[in-house]
Amino acid sequence: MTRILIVEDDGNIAKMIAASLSIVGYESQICPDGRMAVETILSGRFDLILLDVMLPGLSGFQVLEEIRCREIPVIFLTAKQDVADKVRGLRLGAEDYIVKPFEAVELLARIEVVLRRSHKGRELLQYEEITVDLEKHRALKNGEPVALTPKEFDVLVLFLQNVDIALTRERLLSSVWGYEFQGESRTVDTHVQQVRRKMGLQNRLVTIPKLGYRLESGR
Amino acid sequence: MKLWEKIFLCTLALVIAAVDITAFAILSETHRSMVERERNQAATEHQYFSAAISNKVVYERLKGDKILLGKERVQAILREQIGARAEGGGTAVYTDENTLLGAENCKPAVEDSDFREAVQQQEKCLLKVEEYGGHTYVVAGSPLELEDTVYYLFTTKDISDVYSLLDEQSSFAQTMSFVFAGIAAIVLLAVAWGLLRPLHKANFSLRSIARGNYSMRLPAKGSPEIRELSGNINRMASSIEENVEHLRSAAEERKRFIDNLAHEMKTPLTSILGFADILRVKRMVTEEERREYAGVIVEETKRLRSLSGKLMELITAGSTHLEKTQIYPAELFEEIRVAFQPILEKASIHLRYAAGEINLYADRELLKSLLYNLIDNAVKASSPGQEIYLHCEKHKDNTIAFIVEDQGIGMTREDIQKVTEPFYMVDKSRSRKAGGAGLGLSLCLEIARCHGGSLSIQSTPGKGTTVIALLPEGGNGSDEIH
Repeated sequence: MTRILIVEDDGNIAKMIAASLSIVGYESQICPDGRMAVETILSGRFDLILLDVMLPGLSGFQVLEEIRCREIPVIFLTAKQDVADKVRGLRLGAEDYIVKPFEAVELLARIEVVLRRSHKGRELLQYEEITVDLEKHRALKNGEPVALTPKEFDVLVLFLQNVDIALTRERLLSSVWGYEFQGESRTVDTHVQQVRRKMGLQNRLVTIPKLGYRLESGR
Repeated sequence: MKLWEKIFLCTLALVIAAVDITAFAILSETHRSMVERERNQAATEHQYFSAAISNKVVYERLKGDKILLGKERVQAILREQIGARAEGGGTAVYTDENTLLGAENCKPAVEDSDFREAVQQQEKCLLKVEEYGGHTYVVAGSPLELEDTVYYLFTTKDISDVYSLLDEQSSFAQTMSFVFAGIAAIVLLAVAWGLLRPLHKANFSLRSIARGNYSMRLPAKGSPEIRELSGNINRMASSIEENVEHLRSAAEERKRFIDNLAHEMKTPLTSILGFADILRVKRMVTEEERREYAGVIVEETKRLRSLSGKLMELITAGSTHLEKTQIYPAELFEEIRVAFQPILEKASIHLRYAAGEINLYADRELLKSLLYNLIDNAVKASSPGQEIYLHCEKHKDNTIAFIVEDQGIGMTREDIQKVTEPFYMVDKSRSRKAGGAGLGLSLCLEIARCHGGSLSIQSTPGKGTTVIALLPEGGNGSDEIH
């Protein structure tokens, strides 16, 4: 179980982040104060820290300096869009920098990337009879390898990482293609259909009108 | 060409011209009088010589006891005399028929037939200055009657000395003029440098100020003009410095305001966007979750609404023209009590108020907004059962003080200093729960300021807070301060 500490002084934002994390099954703990956060981190065991910059007690930057020895990946959450702040945060050793406001799915995607980079993420993704090995870049169905193009593989991985979460076409585009694909969401549809056909997910990778696609678990 | 170069060259040219003209005038006048003297002397010598010849002839006649001397004898005497005068200058004698009887050192006269003719025709003594063979002579000519025969006597006198003296003096004057010009140039340069140095300094300082060194000041030294210039430059620099400082602090204040505003807007937006996104993409949302998420969205949206409302009020208070009308606080207080009644009852807080016989001129809506915000703060700081006291009093300097006293939680000294800054909240979580945006007291301060008044806060933690808004009575509509 991945444990994530949310250091955020605004109660509603902290609650929102905890709710987002619970969708994919991360366990989370909330801490509203900088000084308290340092104690919690040093005494507890966390895989990732989501750290607000403007905090009572100690600022996010100060907290990061205090806990560097633990080598826990940190993602900054901040309302400031300042480039200087961003550089400062990353230079201090933060893994990522998310500017408020953000979408729940975006937060989850960023967390996934950071966890994988620090080898705390899932290397093997399991969904019913489908297994995806991220390290070997291989997709198996009932133990048999399935031939997928690199983009199709990325689409499959994104769905497996977000089971039961609707993914919009924009989200798929920015996560898989990595840029704003102007007006060509048809490309997404084609790839999703290919994945659906090749992996035999006809009834489970469903289209949600006006929103996107969702890989649904059997429950 | 630079100013100092112009002054230098003009003055130098003037000095040289003045010296040269004076020298030339003096020299030519001296020369003229010397030539005149030489002429006179030559004339005297000529006459003296002429008389001497006549005497000699008379003497010879008397000695020889004759009635008239023979022509040959007279001519012999003349020739003898010509030879005798050889040292004093040149002499030539012509007969009436214009034949040369004898000449000694007298080439200028012998060769100038025009002059001879003039003497022969006019029959009187004539003088002429003549240049011949590098020398200058005074030539004198006169008829000389000897023993009934007319001769013409010419004498020359060398006055080259006078001219060579003029040349010597001229060249001396020229040399002196050059030397003097050199000295004058050096002195002028020194003077110009000395006079213009403060200007150079001022120029240097101005350049430094132009480059942004606004704290640069000039020393108030030198001539009155330079002192005045330095004074004006200093005044300009300090006014620029003041303005720049003012602009800088205004820009900083604005940046802080915008930073805070962005933060205050993004905080509710983050919760709203996050929860809305969860509701949108999550497959299974329980009824309990849906209520909770939607509840947060509504709560945070209300916070944004209150923020935008306060923001609009703040902007309007700072920019609108005041519509001053006569206001009776007694009426105003009653209105406020009615507006607050439900909130006061809910929180079981008692509002006591006293207006007295006071009236003032102010913008009714803004004044109401000010009091409304102060009471709102007091309610938020108070606990059930406590009392808020709203009253006003007139001061001797024609100002009206509106006073709001509560018995609530109070503030520390640091909090009092910062509490009128936009978005500052003494207790963030408590204020946010109460729907505060941290703009209320900023708004009150802005309203007091645009009426030409002020806001002061006294507070003791745990004992309560007293806020006093001091506004001018504003009669006659005369003190429209903006």
